[in-house]
Amino acid sequence: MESADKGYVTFMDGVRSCLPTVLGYLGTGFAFGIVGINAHLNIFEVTLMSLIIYGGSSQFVLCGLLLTNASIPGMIFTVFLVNLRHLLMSMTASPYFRNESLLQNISLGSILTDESFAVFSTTAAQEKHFTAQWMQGLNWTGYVTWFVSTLLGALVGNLIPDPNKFGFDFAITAMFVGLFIFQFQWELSKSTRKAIVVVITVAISLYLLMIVVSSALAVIIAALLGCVAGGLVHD
Amino acid sequence: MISERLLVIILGCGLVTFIPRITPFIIGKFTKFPKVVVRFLEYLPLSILGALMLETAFTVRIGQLPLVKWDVVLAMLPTVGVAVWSKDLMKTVVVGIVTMAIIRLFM
Repeated sequence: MESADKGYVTFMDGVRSCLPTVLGYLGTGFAFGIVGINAHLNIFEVTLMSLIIYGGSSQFVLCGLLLTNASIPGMIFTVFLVNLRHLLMSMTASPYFRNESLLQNISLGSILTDESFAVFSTTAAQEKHFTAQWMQGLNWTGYVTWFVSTLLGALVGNLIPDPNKFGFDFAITAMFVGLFIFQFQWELSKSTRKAIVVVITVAISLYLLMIVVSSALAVIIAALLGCVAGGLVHD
Repeated sequence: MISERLLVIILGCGLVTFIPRITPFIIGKFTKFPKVVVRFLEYLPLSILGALMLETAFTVRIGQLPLVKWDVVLAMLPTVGVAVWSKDLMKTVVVGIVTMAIIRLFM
């Protein structure tokens, strides 16, 4: 594929940049639709969740909590923690769009995902010229795919009680594996030592943190420690 | 169609996922983040993707060592291989899902 600088300008360019991740959204959204129906939600409720919350792990966690006697503030706080990592991703992405209008900034941030952030970072790291329109295309393709796949999953939810049997739950892991490997190879090519130090720091701290805090918090703290390690080796 | 209780839960959860996503975009519009913060966040993509990936392989049991999900670890091996070899996210996800379906067939 030709990847001239022109490829990151229009909304449609963003749609195209999102395509490699579409299958990950599809598999995970489909699995979520099925899980939601099996958590005794109806089709309307399941898809509304995807439209309003728009966070894979948050929604799976919430379905689990709905089946327990958790309190409403407890559920909302848990979802807050699970999605808190977006604060870090938005902090990283937002400086690139500071010349855009406030409304543009808010709309870019509101549907940022792990995946769109990963595609964005790769593009930004390669010092490609990109626009807010491109980012919109990237974000919206993910959002629409998430909605459609949730709906599809919810429609067949009564027929498939256990999506895990077909490996759909692994779609998200596989997507993270791919995104991580691509990022890792890129960082290795820039600085082998730094890349390895960051990854080892994340791996060890994540494992240790998971003994004392929830996995959502462990992810945030381990990612921060990885950043600190990378920043310190920098000098 | 939807109970009031569930609507409150969904809207509340929507709000707390919305706020962390947009706040930096609003603050970043008016001020610049300190240089040191920016320098450290340079490693966020690698750190967060690594953490998210590894997290899926464990079950947390607070107070005890995390439990390894061996089916996930096993399925990760060919998935990593395909990612490195093909550099193609679609192929990586397809191989991952198929591998996991096969593993679950026997486990």
